[in-house]
Amino acid sequence: MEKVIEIGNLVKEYRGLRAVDGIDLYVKEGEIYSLLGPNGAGKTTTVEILEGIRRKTSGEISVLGLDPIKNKKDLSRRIGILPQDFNFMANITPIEALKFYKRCLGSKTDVIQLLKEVDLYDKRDTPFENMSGGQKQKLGLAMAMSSEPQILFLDEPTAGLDPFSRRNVWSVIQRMKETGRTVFLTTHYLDEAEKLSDRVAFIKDGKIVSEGSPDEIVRLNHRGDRVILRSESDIMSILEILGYDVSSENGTVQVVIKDSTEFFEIVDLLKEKKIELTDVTMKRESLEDVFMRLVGKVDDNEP
Amino acid sequence: MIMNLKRSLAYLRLHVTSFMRSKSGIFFVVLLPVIFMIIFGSIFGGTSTQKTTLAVQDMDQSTVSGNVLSAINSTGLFTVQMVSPAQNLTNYMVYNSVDQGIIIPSNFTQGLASGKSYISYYSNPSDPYSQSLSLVIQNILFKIGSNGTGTIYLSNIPVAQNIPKSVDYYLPGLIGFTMLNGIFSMIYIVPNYTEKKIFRQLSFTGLTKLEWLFAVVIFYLGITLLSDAVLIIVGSVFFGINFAVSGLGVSLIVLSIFIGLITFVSIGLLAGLLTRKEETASLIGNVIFFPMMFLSGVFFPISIMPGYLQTISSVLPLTYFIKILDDIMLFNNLTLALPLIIYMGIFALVIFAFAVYAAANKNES
Ligand SMILES: Nc1ncnc2c1ncn2[C@@H]1O[C@H](COP(=O)(O)OP(=O)(O)OP(=O)(O)O)[C@@H](O)[C@H]1O
Ligand SMILES: [Mg+2]
Repeated sequence: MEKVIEIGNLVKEYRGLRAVDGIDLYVKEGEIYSLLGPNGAGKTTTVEILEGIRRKTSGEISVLGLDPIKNKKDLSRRIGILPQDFNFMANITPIEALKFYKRCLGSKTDVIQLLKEVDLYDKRDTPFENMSGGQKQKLGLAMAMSSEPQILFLDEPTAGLDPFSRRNVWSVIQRMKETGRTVFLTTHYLDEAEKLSDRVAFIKDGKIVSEGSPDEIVRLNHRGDRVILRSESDIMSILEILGYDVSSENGTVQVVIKDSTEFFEIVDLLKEKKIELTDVTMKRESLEDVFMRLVGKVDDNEP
Repeated sequence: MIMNLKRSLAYLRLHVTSFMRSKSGIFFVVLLPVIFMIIFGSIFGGTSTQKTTLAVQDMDQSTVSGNVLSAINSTGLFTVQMVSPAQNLTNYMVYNSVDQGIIIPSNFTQGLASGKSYISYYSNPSDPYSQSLSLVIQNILFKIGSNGTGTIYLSNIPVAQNIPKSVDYYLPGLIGFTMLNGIFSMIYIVPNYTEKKIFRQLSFTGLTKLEWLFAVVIFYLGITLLSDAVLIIVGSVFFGINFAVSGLGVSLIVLSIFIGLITFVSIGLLAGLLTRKEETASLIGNVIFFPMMFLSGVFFPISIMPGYLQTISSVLPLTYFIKILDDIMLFNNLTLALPLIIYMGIFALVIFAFAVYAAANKNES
């Protein structure tokens, strides 16, 4: 499949601060690609350089084979943009805003259909300033979609949405993919990246620390699954002496294991020593575990 | 193709919708000028029969100065009181409570022969008639001056018959005043749209700054013509304003208002680009607005101002737009207005181009 976005050694500096520090990535046509990273990682900077809103300091970028700044006008019909802090004229209603977009872009979108799709039909005549944060966000999404773009850039599309609305937006994004469009999104949310993306890049301090499909990332960064044990006795020191990679968390003891035979070894060993276990579970390493290890922190406001 | 009219019109439509929903906008655009009209109309309307005393000191005692005096007399607006050359005119005016006076200097005829001559006009600035009367005299002098010495053309000065009621003299100023709406709204909108990133959002449709600004100018043109029409209708119906301008004159007025709005919307945009916060915006708005309002001849004649204020007045664009409107509406003198319209048109295009350039190059990080 064709590469619709290509970035080579992209750097962006703001007066001494390297917000993007040599990023390489590509996105193939029809893919959903996520940039996942904490606050200040450089997600917005990267996506806005792709949208032609910000200028790069150095590096190569191409969007649909074009330069986003030089070919801004050409691209405006072919890409859809939902910016992070989406806003619009205070007393304009969704239906007016979408009709304005349609006229400017000369698209054939069915505005009513679009409103229904993002679940905003009931609010079609409500002035922007009277809509809730989530409703505004959905309007932004509809506006981004109204040119029927080849690539959608969504900067944190579900930030601030309730769980129901998030799923609603997810299904809109998945439908966009079904119609062959490419989606480039940024997010703080692991579940979102894991559920939607064909490929994910973890970004931290302007650098990509890991990239691939969610499964691939887990496989590549696999440190082993874990046994989670609960006991009255001090199993921590016993296992440590035996050379296991042990840590304690919320009153449990977690042991990293290579495979399931090691799981049974540990359980047998503790049984031999007559140590009573109140709870034994095994946990496979998830994308979240890898993310936490590589990026180190996630935001507190996760739903 | 430098701009896409379809996008510009699409934005114009949105802007109109947004404006119609904001009540304060309608107040400023339609109600405020009418309130001014009512105030001026009530003060100055319907008092045309009353004559004003004019103290005249003729140092020249020549045929030409005699012509000036009879022209002034024939307007029917003044009771002329001759003051002997030996007296001090200002003292005479103070002692006799005369608000208006002129001195024709001894070298008046001589000066005119070499192409340049002047008459000093003394008036009490608190006298509400001062502006209109100075305009009458200015117009008489213009006619006599342009006709050269020794020729008497006074019988056909149109001003003489055309001076109906003083409130007419405020109409050009009030129309000029309505053009300032362009500045005021822009100073509010631009920082607001920048801060809330609405300009950025609009740009996603491909709408350029040029297309945006063009739509805004057209919007204010419509709004201003609307409020000027209201002004003229209210003035004619309630205060007996005599708006007798030819079709060509009206077209030139509309053209001047268009040029004026390009100028003021551009000035407003530039001022708006300088401010980040909306509070500073209203401060800057006032700094631009009030000098224009008071020093451009909207309310007080420029000729009675002290020299330094006249200097300020001479750099304010509104001064020239009011001069154009005066020439067309009061003196029915289109040939006088035309060169000024062309100059102001060129000025408007330059400042418009500059504003578009500045707006397009802002905020590129
Ligand atoms: N216009 C700017 N001027 C100076 N520094 C900036 C500017 N924009 C962003 N930065 C800095 O660049 C870094 C990356 O910012 P960016 O907005 O790209 O992060 P992000 O990953 O989108 O974060 P968030 O999840 O909070 O949206 C931050 O440290 C930020 O402070
Ligand atoms: Mg961001």
